[in-house]
Amino acid sequence: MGDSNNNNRPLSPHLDIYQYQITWTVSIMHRLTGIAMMVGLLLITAWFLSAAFSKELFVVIDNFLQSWVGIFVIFGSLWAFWFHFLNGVRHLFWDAGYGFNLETVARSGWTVVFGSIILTILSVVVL
Amino acid sequence: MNIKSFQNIFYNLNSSEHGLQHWLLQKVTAVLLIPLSLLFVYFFSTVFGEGHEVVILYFQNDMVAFLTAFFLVISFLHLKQGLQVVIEDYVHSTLLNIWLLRIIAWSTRILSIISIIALGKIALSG
Repeated sequence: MGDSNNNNRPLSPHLDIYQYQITWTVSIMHRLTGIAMMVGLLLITAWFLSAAFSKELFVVIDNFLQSWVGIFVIFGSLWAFWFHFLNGVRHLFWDAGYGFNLETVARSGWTVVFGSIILTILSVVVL
Repeated sequence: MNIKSFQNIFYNLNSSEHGLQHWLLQKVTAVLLIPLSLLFVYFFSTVFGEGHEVVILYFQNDMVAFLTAFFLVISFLHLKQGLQVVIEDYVHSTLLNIWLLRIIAWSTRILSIISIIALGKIALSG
């Protein structure tokens, strides 16, 4: 009000001026992986529902999951799962009062990134 | 109990004025999901790609069926808690915000019930 520059004032937060930091990257990835896993969870629920009630529908969903798109969704969900899992454990440590040291926070953040990739490859190979 | 808190309970939007409860439920479901999700990844990878009969046979085991249904129910609860925070943070239109929260609260409940029915049917078909 009373500001001649009313409409083109920059709005806070200025996202593009932030220095890159592992902490906020992992934080937003935690949300994104959580939301992304919704797709896998819904497909799995449909998979079980059709398995219980309609073999024909089950075959359709099962075939889709075994197609290239389906495998991509499953492997994507698997990585999202490991990422969210590891970072979830990281959050639980924070809730318990551990790991707030800046250095530790950065190190545990990178552990989540690399750990999720390693665990995804490992679980594909082992299972 | 005033009408506001009744609505909160009805729509299960318990972070509005029930922040601790919301946080606690997120954490309790998170801890439960540590073993449950690992078990489910193991179950699913064991039978995925083996066809309808093998899948039914595997999930006819009462324990496997119970743990899978439990995993799905807790997952939907955890999903609801998480999505609620995301919507509260990013959706600023009050009307859209409220409706999205209602849709999420109800659809995750319905999906939980669907999961229990599906796994129950498979377990009892043995």
